[in-house]
Amino acid sequence: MTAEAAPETKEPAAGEEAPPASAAPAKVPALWVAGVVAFVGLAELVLHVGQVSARDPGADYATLAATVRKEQKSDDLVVFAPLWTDPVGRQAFGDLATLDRAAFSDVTRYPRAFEVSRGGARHPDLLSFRVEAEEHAGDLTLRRLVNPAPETIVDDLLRHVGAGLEVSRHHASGKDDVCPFTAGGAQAGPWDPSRPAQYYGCPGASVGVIVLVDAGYRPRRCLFAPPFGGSDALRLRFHDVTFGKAIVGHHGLHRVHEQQKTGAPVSTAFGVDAETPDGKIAERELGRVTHREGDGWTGFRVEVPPALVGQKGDLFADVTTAGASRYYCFEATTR
Amino acid sequence: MRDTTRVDHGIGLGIAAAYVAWLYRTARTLGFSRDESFYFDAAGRYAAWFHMVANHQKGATERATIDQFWSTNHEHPSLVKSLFALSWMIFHEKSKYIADSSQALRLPGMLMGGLALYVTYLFGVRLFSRTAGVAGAAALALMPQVFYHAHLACFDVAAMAMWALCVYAYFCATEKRTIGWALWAGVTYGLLLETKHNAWIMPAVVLPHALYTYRSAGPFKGIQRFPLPVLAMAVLGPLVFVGLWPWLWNDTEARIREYAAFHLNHEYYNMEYFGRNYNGPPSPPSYAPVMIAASVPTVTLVLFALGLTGFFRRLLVERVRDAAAFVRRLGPPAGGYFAQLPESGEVLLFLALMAPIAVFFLPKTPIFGGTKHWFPAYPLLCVFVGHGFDQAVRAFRSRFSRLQPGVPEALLGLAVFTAPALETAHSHPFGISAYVPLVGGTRGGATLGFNRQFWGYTTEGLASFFQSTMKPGESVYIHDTTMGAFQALQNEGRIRPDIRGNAWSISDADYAIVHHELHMIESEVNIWTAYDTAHPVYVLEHDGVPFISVYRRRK
Repeated sequence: MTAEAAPETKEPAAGEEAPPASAAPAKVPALWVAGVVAFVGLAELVLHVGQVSARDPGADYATLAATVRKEQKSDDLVVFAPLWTDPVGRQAFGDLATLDRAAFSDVTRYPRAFEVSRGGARHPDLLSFRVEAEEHAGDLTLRRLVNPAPETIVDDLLRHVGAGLEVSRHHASGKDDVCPFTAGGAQAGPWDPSRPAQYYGCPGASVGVIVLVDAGYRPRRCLFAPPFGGSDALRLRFHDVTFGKAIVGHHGLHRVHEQQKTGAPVSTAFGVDAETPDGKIAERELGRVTHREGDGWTGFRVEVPPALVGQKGDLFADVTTAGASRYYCFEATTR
Repeated sequence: MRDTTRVDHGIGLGIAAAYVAWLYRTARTLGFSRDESFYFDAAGRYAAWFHMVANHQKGATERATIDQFWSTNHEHPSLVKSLFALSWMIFHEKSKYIADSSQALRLPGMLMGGLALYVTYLFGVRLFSRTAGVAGAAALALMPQVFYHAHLACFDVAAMAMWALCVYAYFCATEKRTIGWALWAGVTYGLLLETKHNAWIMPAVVLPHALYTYRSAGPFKGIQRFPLPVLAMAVLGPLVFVGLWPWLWNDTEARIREYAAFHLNHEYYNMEYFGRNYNGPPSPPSYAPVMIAASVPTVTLVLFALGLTGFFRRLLVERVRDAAAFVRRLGPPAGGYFAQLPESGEVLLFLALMAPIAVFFLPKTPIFGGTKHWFPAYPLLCVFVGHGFDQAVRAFRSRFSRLQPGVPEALLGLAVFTAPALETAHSHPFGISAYVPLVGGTRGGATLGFNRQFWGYTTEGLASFFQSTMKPGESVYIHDTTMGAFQALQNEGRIRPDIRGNAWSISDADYAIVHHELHMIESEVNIWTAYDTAHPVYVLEHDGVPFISVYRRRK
């Protein structure tokens, strides 16, 4: 079956331009239209050539790494800006890009920072730092930044992992099941937090220093301390801690757990063994901090009684949650 | 409106052939993506079934046999994967004409890229001019992100080509009003359904367009007054869809429901946009327009805007004049009310380019595909680009009328298309990360927090590092690259065959790589913990932007 042919229309011969789509008479655009089009095309060309011809900053990173290597102290922070340049910077800076620096938990503890900037970018966490000196190499700028209000660290609890930390499942009855410290080798896959090479093997959980991804997709070096859930606490007893005026730290959940927003909060109670008026030794809670899903990587501060300041002693942290276990991680210092 | 001639088909095919040749020549330096590895696998299964059929083996059409071979990857229709399989059988397995298995598997995808250009050209010629056709096809060829996807044994460029082909066939059917064109429109819709589920939004194009076009009989008589192409698409489309997909030959209704449910309830993968990771609803409504502005060459979009001006004048400005005349009771404007309406073809172009994009304004539409999921809009967008170019040439010619014919086109073409051509060439093989100079190129995209890559396809870029650094038999955790893709790289000698790929365990491998995407930092920090270092031994970069970091496990 064939339908009737379409009504005959006069069509241009091959190679001719078609008449305009509208029935209205064709209007020739003004010359400036062609000028604008050509200008945009050429401007895009110039921009593109300029962008892809930028010189490889590899040698410049090496130059600045040499400067930092000469000047740096162990308590200096080294960062790269913008954030996407971080892998390139860490490769170029080699052993200067330590885990502590790459996954810093806060900037208040650093009196000084080296910021390696590409294209003038600033690191978002260091905007309050004062620029003390700058050195340029190609498109890179090395800024020596000074923290206007650095906090002095008295003790860092992460440094106690190993001989200075005992981990146990602390039952409500007061009984402790010790989680043995093991150097069993790391275990890591793509998603869930890794088990570090040295860890405390608790039932259903490994406690140790890891790098966690926080809710803002930033790496944080911290003590992975997933609570058991229910009434039992994950007890971390830090030995011979030198106390300052406060326990200052940060805590958070793995970003996946942080985003679920369905789980129970995680509480960490810090305490010490103290002598009671009748001469017995009893546990005394110094303070409790709570993390709720969605809070992100947040800071906390627990005041220490004046009598303890400058003293050495055991500090315990009981990590609990009423619900199912969470990928909880924290770091703490005494200051 | 002009018809196409043999010369036009020759020009269109020439443009398509040149593009396919460019894709073919550059394909070997482009590593395999995750999804390609799944489709390679599916194509292998389908090829085995084709062998059964070709050899008249008993039971090939029985349900158990069909399910054995066609259940693989049944979340996507089979047409394109069947083409991968047939290409592999003909050009690699049988004739050995193509040495690399992957090249034969990818060839249909490249041809689809060529088809999209061919249809774009024809559309431009029919609606505007030969100059518009050439410019439109060139604009489509010179989109860096399209260029990347056009290499792949995947569906997105095929969906783009089939969408354009279907729209073109439907357009011709509405113009010619013949049964033949109506039937062809129905068949092409079936092919589109059999390519990808983008086809489901085609009714949003043809139904309003049919209402617009068939609202009055015009010069047509009899059966020509009825929207036969729509009817043909409604009837033939599903028949072709089911007929070409053996998995649907049994339990048809239930399986179509399963297929639809998979896509209507698709999980949300991760996608970075302005530094934020989206892996669930609501999707940002600004995503599609911002990504188009950031990834389609700016001059192309300027030409598009120019090409649209006439359409918008007829669609909106003339309506305002009508309304003003009515309100002031001046009587109808010259020619009467609604005298100047957009042409049917323009309306179709506009609907067909807006529909695939409009979906991304819905809060539940996932954005994980980046730009590729609205590729079907691009051929139609490029027809307007061609018209815009044509307008600019006419403006140029009106002032410099003494120039030889072709000279204005050539001069303006150079000014306009050199940048997109260089951007496209430079983007390879990192096409997904290609952003336009206006936003700072690849570095600008990284600074703005746009997606840099997905599918783990950049691993081939580590070949020289592996070659020079890894000891025989050492292993590497391959992160987002699938084992299938890694093994395909090794089978074709692109990566040293003795290296042991490890898809799951960072801690058991000697080296670990991480493909940099915002959410992939989860894997990177696991490497830091397991290897006790944050120092990559190698970083694969493009324009100074890191794509892969390689870590070595401490002994």
